[in-house]
Amino acid sequence: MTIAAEEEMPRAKRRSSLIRSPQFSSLVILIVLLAVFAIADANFLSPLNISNMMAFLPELGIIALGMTLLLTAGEFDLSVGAVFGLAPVVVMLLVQNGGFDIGVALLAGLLLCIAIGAINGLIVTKIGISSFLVTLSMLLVVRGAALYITQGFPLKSWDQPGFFVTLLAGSFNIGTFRFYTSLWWFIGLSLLAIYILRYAKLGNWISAIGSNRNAAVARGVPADAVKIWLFILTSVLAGLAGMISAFRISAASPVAGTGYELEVIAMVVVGGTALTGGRGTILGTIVGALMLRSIRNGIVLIGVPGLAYNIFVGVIILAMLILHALLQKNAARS
Amino acid sequence: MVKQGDKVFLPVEVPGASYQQLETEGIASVFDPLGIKYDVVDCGTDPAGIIAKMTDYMVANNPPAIIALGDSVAASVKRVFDGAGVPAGKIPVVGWGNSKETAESVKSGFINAAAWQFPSAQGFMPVALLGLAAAGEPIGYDIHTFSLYDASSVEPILKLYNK
Amino acid sequence: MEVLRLQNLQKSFGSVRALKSASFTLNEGEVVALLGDNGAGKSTLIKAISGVFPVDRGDIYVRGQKVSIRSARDAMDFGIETIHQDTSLAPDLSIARNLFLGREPVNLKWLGVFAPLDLAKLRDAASALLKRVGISKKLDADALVSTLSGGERQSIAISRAMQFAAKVIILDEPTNNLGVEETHGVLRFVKEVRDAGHSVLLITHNIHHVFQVADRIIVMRRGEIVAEQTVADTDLLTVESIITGADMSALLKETRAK
Repeated sequence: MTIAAEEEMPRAKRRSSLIRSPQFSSLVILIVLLAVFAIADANFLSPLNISNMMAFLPELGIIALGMTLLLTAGEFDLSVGAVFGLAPVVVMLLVQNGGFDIGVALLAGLLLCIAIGAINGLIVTKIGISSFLVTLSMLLVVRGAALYITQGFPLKSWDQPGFFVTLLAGSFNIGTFRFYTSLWWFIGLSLLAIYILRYAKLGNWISAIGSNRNAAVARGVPADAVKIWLFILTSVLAGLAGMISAFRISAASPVAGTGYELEVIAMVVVGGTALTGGRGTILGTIVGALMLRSIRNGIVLIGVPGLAYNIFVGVIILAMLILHALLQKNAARS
Repeated sequence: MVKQGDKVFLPVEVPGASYQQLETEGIASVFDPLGIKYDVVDCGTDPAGIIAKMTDYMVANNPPAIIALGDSVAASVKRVFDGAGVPAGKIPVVGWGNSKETAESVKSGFINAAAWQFPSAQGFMPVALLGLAAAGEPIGYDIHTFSLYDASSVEPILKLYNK
Repeated sequence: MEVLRLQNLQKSFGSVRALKSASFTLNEGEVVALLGDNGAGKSTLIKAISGVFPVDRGDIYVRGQKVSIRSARDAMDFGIETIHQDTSLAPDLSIARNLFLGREPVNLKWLGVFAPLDLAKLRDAASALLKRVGISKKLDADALVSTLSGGERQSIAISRAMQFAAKVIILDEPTNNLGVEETHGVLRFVKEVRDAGHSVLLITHNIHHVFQVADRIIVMRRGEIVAEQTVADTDLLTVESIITGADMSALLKETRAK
């Protein structure tokens, strides 16, 4: 064998492992989906429509980043949607009824999210109850708290511009596109999450814990501490997304974020992260977030009847998961 | 403003709720004989989700008119128009008006008219009537606790919300 | 030379005395087989040594120094590496990442858990190790552990223990669920590990394997060590009868006489 041939090997291997990776099949499906919608309706790729898609997407995407890390470590968080609703409600109440400075109120909101995440994490790891049950109960507690402290009414809109509003929900134009600062948050946090999961020591631990917790513990990895911090991170990201959303639409509603937990888990799983832990991909999650947002946007555009949206969303997600599984199986065989 | 064959946009938070059913029945009794179509759209209760869904619909279908079946969807009209690039007053909009956002939208021309049904008045007046009846007073009239307001009559409502 | 000495280790779970009293010594460069039926206390003993839980009473000495082992980390720091059956590797991680799990080489160490992995060093060290233990031809350091066979996984786990210059390597049922050929591969590997100067404590059900690789045999019954013999001084049938408890008194006498 020549040396050249030997050098060729790993490169070819790397290329085939890229094609075989779950996020790659997700990307292929996303491109097909975008092409279908673009052909079906010219409005789909219009600057106006893309701007609208990108206004809402980062808010769910930010939560999905935390959920990806948590799922990779083998745990769920079903309370993210409720935290998304509660955090801005508490901030607005402190500002409007408590007379606090907006900065102080935001800090208090973040501390609340840290506390919720820590409680989730401590109960899951120290008492040993499945995260599905713990965070489902937390969902009820948090959503109930949001409804109780507001008596069910949405809080008056917050329309005083200022540093924090610009920081969280300012908008800017690129050509005919209009984007919000939430997009920068999403991009920045995505890069950070990619770094942590793929290149940092912590990422190695997270994957190992989700893949085989006992093995990780036997190597001295502090599995419980890592999980607790990931629950805290997920809660904080959900709260941050909630505040960004509340500032963007100038209102804090106690029912904001209803159903987001499932939407976010769908994004993460469609992107290629394993529901059983051990295998997580941030790039896949970004693809998954784009995919779910385009489906919801696309089916409205192609003229599905108004009350039939969910049928189509469900069918398309199911079809994608099946396609995903087939592509994976095929790639594994070759 | 709306003619035969047009499809009017009817956003709603909770499809299947009694308010949606009754309103859609009423709208159907007017629109059906005229050959006007309508599309009830499930927008959900999440505020950011409502805005996203309604904006998507506007961009896709460019509807000739909107009847907002609930308060949350009506309150979102201004933001939806901003997002979809529709100027105020381009298409007729009516809907529920029990929120500050909707009242402001009526004033700034995004919504032509909104329904006013302030809960305390709705509850107080019948009780007052019953009190009169119990005291032996004859009740020979009806009381309306529901009315439409437009830009010319929005001021007292805005004043109430700004209190 | 003595590497590990256990003195009168005791451990109870509630009213169950899982470990009544265990004392033995492990010398440098020897393979000692720990035998016994289910429930004999083998698992409790190795879990105590590897830091899964603390003992109630008794002392552990590493190279003559009395040590206190409270966690898996402690055991590793004292040079005791345990390879638990089926649970030693994370299948979704690459071989290289598994080899260094918990001891990752990093740049910018001050970043703590956020420090970036030194990927080049990780890969090179893993490849060098795989080459040294003679499995480089078959395995790529970047391959996921889930793509490996059971025997390959055991070899990886054992190489990992060797790489950190472990004084004592504890193998818990390393040939469980392996085919004949793979079993022989792993046993050959155990001999290589001993020849490289490590001490091995081998826990197994299979007495045939013991006679292939072990220098010494320790038998446990009901939480106690009931026999200790060099392989050369005994035979398969004798050991079998000690394990099952048949004609034990005679054998015990014989053991003590030595």
